[in-house]
Amino acid sequence: MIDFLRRFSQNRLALAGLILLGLVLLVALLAPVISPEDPLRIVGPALSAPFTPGFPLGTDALGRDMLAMLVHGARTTLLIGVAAACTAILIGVTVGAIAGYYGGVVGASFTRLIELFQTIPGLIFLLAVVSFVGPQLIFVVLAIGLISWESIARLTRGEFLTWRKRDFVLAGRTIGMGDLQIIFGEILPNAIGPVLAVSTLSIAGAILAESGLSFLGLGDPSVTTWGRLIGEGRGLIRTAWYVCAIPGVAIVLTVFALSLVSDGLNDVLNPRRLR
Amino acid sequence: MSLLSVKDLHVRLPTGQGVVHAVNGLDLEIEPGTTVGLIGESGCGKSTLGKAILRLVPSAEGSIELDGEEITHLGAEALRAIRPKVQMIFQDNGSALNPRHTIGKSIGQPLRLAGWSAKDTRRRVEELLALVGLPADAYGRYPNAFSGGQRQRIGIARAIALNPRLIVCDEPVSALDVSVRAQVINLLGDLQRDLQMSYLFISHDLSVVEHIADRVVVMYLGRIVEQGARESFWSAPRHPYTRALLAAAPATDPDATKAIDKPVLQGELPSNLNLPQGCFFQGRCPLVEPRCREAAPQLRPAEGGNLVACHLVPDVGEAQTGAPVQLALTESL
Amino acid sequence: MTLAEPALIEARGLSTAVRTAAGETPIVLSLDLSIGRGETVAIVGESGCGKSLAALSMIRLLPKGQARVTGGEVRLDGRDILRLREREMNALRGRDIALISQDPMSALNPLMTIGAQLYEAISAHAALPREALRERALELMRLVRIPDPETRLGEYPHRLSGGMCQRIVIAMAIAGHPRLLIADEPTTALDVTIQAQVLQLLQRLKEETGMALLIVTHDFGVVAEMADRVAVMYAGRIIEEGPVREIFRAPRHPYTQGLLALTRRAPAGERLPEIPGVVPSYADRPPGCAFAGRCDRALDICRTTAPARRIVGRRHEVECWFDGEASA
Repeated sequence: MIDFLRRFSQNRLALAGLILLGLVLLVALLAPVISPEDPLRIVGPALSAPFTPGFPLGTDALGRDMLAMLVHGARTTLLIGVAAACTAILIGVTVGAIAGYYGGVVGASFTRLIELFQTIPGLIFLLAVVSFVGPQLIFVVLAIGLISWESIARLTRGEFLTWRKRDFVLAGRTIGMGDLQIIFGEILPNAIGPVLAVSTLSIAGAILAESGLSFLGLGDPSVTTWGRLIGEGRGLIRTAWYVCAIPGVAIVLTVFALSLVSDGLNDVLNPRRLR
Repeated sequence: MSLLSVKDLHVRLPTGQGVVHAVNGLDLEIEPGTTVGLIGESGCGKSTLGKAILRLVPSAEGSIELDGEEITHLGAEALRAIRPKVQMIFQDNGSALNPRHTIGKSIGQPLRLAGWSAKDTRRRVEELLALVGLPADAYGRYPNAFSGGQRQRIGIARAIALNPRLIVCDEPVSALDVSVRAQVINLLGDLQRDLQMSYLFISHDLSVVEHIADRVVVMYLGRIVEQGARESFWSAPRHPYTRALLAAAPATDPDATKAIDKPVLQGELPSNLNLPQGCFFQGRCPLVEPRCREAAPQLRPAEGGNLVACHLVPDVGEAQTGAPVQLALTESL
Repeated sequence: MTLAEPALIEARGLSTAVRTAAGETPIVLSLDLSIGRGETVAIVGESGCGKSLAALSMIRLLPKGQARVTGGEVRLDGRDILRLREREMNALRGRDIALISQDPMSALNPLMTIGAQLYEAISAHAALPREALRERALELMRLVRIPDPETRLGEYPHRLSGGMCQRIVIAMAIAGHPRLLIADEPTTALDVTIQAQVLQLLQRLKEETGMALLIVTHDFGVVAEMADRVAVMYAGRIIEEGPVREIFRAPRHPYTQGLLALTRRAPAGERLPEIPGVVPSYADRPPGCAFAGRCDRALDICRTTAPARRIVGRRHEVECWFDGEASA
């Protein structure tokens, strides 16, 4: 573990990404402190420019505080990202592990399943699901999870295909381990490194997907997310560009930080170094 | 009664190119406390036979009896109960240990699975480490901290953790250096004497098998072509393949015949996707006759004490006609 | 060492270091080895003793950025090849020296037919028209006894067995009529029967072409079968060198004696003779004799001072303080 931290911190970019991500997380956690009131409350004149006294990031078309909406938006946006990524990891690792561990019909059919989801256009599927079951947050999260597990599954399958050939898997069978014990106790700890690295990236993907959805006005109307802020500001892009730009920058920075961290993790967790 | 009794075993493995006929009607007995050496070229099915005995690959036909109990078709639950009786030692010691587990965890795994408490397991693992000649501080370390020979000792400790009756040793010393090889062979010998285990010792290294095996079995294309006790096997090999195999082993003396002047078996092991009709060795046999292409020879007792599957080797009592055959064999190889 | 005729290739004080995370670790230490014309020399030792590295250093084929020669010279026809430019060296490889490696499968390009790879190897030394190329390729394949060479020309390596691949690799190596063929563990990946075939092939080729052979192996059996002279390596140094019969009959170094005892068949039921302990790591090489820690005859001087080379017989040299006879 110490070795892991030491090697991770040797990668400067990854460290920068981690610090940036930490800041975003801190802002999200401190949202009730920074702005204790309901962020959707109208607090001042409409479309005040940033750096107006009392409104450091200005106000939107309805006179709501941009800063308050941004920090509360960070909460929901990150939450959706993490929850959707967890869904994707759960599905992806399970399907990938089964597809990679088992040969024969079972392995082949799960591999086909992965390929099937690979061909589904993500955003369209997302729109279809949301317009069918409604835009509640839980459905949005599940739908995003459902369109992003396929890359995790593919990677997990690949890892399992290599590791299952190792003799310690056979050794496990000779002492009577069940398939589940071998998959989770023996192979997964070896395979999980690169999978985790990709999973970090899938948080970024989930944030982008949710932003796209909210931008189109199809997100959950009861919560504030960065995507929704951009969506609401898009009509004002000529007159009050900052309404779009501020949440936009927030998204770009967060996604960028996540991809830096993912790269760093990939370098450190790359199992080839262990072999 | 035999500890292990394999009867008419067939193993067929489906692959992308077709069905591999890995084991094709094989009988094998192993007595308690003895070592059977299994030799043959790679691809002859010797590893697959070992895995079939451990029920790691399914058998298509035939039966495997362990300690009088038929285990060929046992279900998962019943199989788990007999697992401790038969264990395996692997060739590639780097791959046989999980790099994420400490040595203590790896060796303790079979014990924990058998329901041992954490405390008892720890005590037994420490005992096992001492038994195979590893330092006690190996317990908390990871496989990459050990050399090949030490990792093989760890594999042995794990295999003997539950006092098995039979260990299938699949090329256990082939990946090791000569000096370490001797240490591991000696350890296996000591453990056998102390724990009264049987070994099925799979190897392509004839000198190791000669040293360790009480009985030797030669496999070719999934069948036994010759087998015999130590006393007769090395002195009176009968099958043309066995003789070729023994002749191919490198000399241990520079004054012996050099490779260039030696009769060398030509050709290679044929594919086991499509088995030939008749004797499997016909394609490489220097003495092949028409009858070899028609019927497959059965294992029969031959002069000298071995069991041999060859049409040309006379039955016991017909030794007079045997001599010219052997002479012709040596000349034509 | 005095030779009646000048050696074909001669290494003097050749040292090689490997780059690691902690810096450069010296592996091969001041190696002296000469090979005469048409002679077969074997370097024998256990894994990690530096034998492959030594052989690769002699023909400047060390993996770039991972290992480099740190000192010494290698003379081919009296010319120090370590000082040649890369271009001159390339011209020399294949024509004067060729290498066959341990893993025949990885020595061949899986995406090229056998024929294309042979043509490439032949064209490297002689510009031939297409028809002549094919003729020469077929000739080479017959030379290495590949059955049905016309069909094999169009096939890809994965269609061939390990033994057949090794034959192709040998055919490619001898395409330029080298005067020295270096074989790095040529039969380790092969079965005994195939090993015997390949060893026999190498000996026949040697007799037909008159080339010299340097065999790197861990197997004293291969040494006994093939070599005229043998150099035993331990922890990066040649600790004993001499004519093969002499080494087998009267080995002087305790390590050589131990290895040879392990090669001979021990009576069944008896314990095999062991060499206790393990090879010391290169990072903490002991100041004296590297074998002292495992040697049952080690004297005090063995642990403090490295032994110098002593001549103990005709062309038989050993690095050991112990002065007794083999069976002492």
